[in-house]
Amino acid sequence: MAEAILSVAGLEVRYGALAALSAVGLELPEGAILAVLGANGAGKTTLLRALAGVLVPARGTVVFRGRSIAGLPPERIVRAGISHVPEGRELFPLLSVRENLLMGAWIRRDAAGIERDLARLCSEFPVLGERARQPAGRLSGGEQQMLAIARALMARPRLLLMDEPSLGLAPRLARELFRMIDRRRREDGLTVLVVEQNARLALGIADLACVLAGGRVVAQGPARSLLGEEFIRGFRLGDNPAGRTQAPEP
Amino acid sequence: MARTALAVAAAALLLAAPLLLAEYSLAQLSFICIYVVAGAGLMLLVGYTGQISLGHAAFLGVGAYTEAIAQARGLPFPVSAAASGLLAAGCGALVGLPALRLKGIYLAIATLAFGFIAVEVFARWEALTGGNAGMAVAPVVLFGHRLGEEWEFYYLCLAVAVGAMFALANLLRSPTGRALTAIRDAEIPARSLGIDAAHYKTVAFALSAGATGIAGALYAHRIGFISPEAFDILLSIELLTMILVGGLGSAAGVVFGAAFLIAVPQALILARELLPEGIARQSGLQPALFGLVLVLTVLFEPEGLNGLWLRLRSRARRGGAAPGRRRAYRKSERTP
Repeated sequence: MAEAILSVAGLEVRYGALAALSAVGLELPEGAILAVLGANGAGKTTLLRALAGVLVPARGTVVFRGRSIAGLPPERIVRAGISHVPEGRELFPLLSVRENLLMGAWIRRDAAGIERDLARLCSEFPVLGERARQPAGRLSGGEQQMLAIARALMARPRLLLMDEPSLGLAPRLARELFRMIDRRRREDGLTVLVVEQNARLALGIADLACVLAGGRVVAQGPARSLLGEEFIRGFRLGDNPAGRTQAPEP
Repeated sequence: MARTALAVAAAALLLAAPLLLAEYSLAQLSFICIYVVAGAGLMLLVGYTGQISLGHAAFLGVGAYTEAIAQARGLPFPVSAAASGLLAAGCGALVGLPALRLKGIYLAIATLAFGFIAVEVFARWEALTGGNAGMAVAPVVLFGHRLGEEWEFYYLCLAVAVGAMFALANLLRSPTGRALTAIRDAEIPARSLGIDAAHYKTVAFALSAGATGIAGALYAHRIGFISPEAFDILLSIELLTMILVGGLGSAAGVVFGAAFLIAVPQALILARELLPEGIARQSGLQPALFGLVLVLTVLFEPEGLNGLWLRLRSRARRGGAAPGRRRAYRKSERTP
């Protein structure tokens, strides 16, 4: 695969005395989809927030497209080419769907390109086109999730960080969403880092996967190799797979 | 259609007010216009950016003193009023600095401290402000013409108020306005989209203080005599009450709130004659009433008078069917 677009080494994030992440290392090749799996409290969301600049790492390096971005504020990170779809959508509920999408293009100045992307997203998510003038707060949960992802894509990121995109989505919608993400990867070379509870769904499209437990990477490898039934069942039931350092062979 | 008719009727009434109203009532209407200007500024900050200020009386004071001092030095009104706005905006940008790190109650305390400092400066800088003895302010002289009559000053206030409301409406439609509401509704996601929250918060503080400073220039002429205690914490709270009762996050709420702020003391004067003597002579009735209305607003009509108006209007249109409450504006509560 291509050269790494994102390399993380020795990343440590603390909430006061508590280390939520320690010694996390990742290599993400351009155009790949990496699924980050793990039980509740394993540090998945913390990892995403640290990469997005919402949290400032205590230690470690984050290099994106050859440039160190650790500790940059979120408004600089998005300009570097990383968009973050936060947990729980966080839309602007009083703005219309269209205005929310335009807010996503805040860092861009190419009006024609923005309109083109808007049209493309509305064809991919027809409901966003149909409800363009409605306040985002009136959309259903699933539609809001679609809008949150579409809004992040409006910034034309090279790397998309998604936090639990399938949460609250009907299974059919969740599959549709993942197919769309996969298409973006194939057509635009988008790189994706996705945190998921639904491991089977995520591993279905991911190239790579890593498993976090207790703030550390406990397994990392090609997604297929992590698709082992026993392994996934293990942590979906909440067992801590700590101690397993090698991905199980298929 | 009905909307246009209503707007035309309102404009006609406002323009004809000097013919219809006695001098005293016209003076109250000028006060409403001045509060609309200050309220437009405060609404931008509190209602649309989600920041709080308990120090806006100080910006009003900075504007009032700048106007009084500049006029006494012979500067023409357009220049002195602009200076009032600019100086207050400068103070606003400075006061906005803590807003980059503080939120909610802590920001309220920081702005409150600024209010106390400003009053202290007005009182101690005697060479410039006349200290606690205060300063008399002469009527406005506009392009060589002295606005000595009540109606002349009223038209000036009306023009500035209309200008302030247009400026607010235009700002809210601009990218800057969208950035401010985005910061209010979801600050972290807004930053993740590339919005420089620190920059826009500072801009919001500066613009808000600037509008309030211009209101202060008119206020100085309206009351004719300024002294430090006129700009204390009580006035800051009144200004905040105004926009809360009017309806946070609505431009129309500024006008409703300003009318409320002027109408209540007048109603109280009338009511005093009807109340038993023991209560009527009680001091502090006005702040108590403001407090009561504020509590009732927060509890029962979080969108203020504007929300009440919208619901009454749509009830009238639909012939009795009461629509549900619109989604109330609420500062999003989330852990960092």
